[in-house]
Amino acid sequence: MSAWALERWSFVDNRIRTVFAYRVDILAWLVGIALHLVLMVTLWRAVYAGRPVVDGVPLAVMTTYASIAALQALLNNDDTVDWLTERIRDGKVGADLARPVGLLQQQVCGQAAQLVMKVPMIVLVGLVAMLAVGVSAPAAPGAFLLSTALGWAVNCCLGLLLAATAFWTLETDGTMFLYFVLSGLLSGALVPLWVMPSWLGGLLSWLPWQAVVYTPVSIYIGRLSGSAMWSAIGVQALWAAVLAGLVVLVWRRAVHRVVVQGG
Amino acid sequence: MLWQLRAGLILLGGAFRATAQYRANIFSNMAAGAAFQTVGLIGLWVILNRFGEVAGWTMSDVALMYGLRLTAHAAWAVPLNQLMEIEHQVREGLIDRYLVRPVNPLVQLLTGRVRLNVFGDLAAGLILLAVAASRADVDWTPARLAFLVLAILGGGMIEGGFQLGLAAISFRTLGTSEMRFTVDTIFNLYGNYPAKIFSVPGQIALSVLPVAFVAYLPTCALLGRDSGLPLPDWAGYAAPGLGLLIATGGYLFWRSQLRNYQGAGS
Repeated sequence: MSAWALERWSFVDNRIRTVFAYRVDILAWLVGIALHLVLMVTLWRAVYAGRPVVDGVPLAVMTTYASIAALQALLNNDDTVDWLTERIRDGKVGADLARPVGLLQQQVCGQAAQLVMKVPMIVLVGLVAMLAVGVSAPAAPGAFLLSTALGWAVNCCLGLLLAATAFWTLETDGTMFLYFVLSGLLSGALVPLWVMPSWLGGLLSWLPWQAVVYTPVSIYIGRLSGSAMWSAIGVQALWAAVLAGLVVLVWRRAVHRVVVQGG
Repeated sequence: MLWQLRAGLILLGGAFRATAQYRANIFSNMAAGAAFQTVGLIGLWVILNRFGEVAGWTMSDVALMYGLRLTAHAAWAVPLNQLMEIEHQVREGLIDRYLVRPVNPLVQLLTGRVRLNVFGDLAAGLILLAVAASRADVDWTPARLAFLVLAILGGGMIEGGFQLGLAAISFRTLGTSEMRFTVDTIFNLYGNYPAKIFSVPGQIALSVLPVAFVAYLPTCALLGRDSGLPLPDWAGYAAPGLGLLIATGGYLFWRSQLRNYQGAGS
């Protein structure tokens, strides 16, 4: 490994160890996701009430959507904002800034560490869901993986933008929670966009959150395919690029705001 | 008893003044509490707007149940929210202080700080309940209104009793937040939907735990619906009694576990 990669890997490795220190938390979290998954599948079955197809979507496809969306939400739930807020509040950010790797890059390493942690768990829960709920295989596996990766990148950028507000406000508890809850609705994790009234679905399709969950899961179930699929992936890539640019701009300004309290 | 209450109020006043120092945070925390509970309802509204009903329940029926459940949740979360501090206080040995003071240790723990997001929950619950109750197909006689109030308190005591009992285990194990979080997740997720939609094993689980007693069964009783659960008809009116039982059990368990507190050696 080159020195550049080695430096960054040490951050990733460090964060993986931090996450592993709270094994019971992870277990509780997985139980929460499993409970959520079972509930959504049961709810859709009850809502379909024996109708085989609604809006051109068969029940089996809808339950697959609900299951995969729950797993995507798991993938995209990370603690960057909490982490950074705490470092800023107790002044540890001072030490972080003195490190040879930039603060923004450290956060990206942290996000990568969480990804490394979560992928095996998601695969595990996904396999159980496939057997228990009857989730079908992806319609276009390669495009689904690409779209999931782009969705993850968009979500990381949104997280980094939100985290940057901590430099100004020092406190993100309320905002963070509000964001976490709202993004479930905005991303299509709770309800797919095609079920929504057209004004709401249309509005959400112009926002970045649908690129996080709705696009990859729609590709998974084959609702997006062919040229529509590639243009949706193009939209994801565009959002990722625009938001990444915004993150760099905002963080460049934000770091100058650091006030180390005490310490 | 009266003296405990007065001491509790004095302590609570101090906690309120402490929280009021952070004014900007007050609003965002309350909004977050309200939004957390409302987003689930918006999701349900989106689904029912398209599909009309779920298991024979229309939006106005579901809204009544949701409002009842939210208010019941706030009914325990407002007084008991400081239970989430228990691990921290046990680990740091802060319970020592409570034991040498004349006020009941539980009262001291609960009045330590005020978390405003639970008042957001309460406001959202009450507003939703008022709107849903006026639109629901229920003839609101004084007896039914009285039952509604008792059901809210009973539902709150069911959930709160569990939380208190689980928190008390912290005196032995130092940590129970994951357990409490999971139980709260179960009540939050499964308490807000008609229990009828689940298969028989699921229905039995929700009756035993007893998630269905908090909002689903009382709402069935108010709407004059058959619950579809393998339970007798009077189960719809059981929430207040069951709540009292579980809350008393939770408190007695707390008392017994408090004796196992060991301090932090500091």
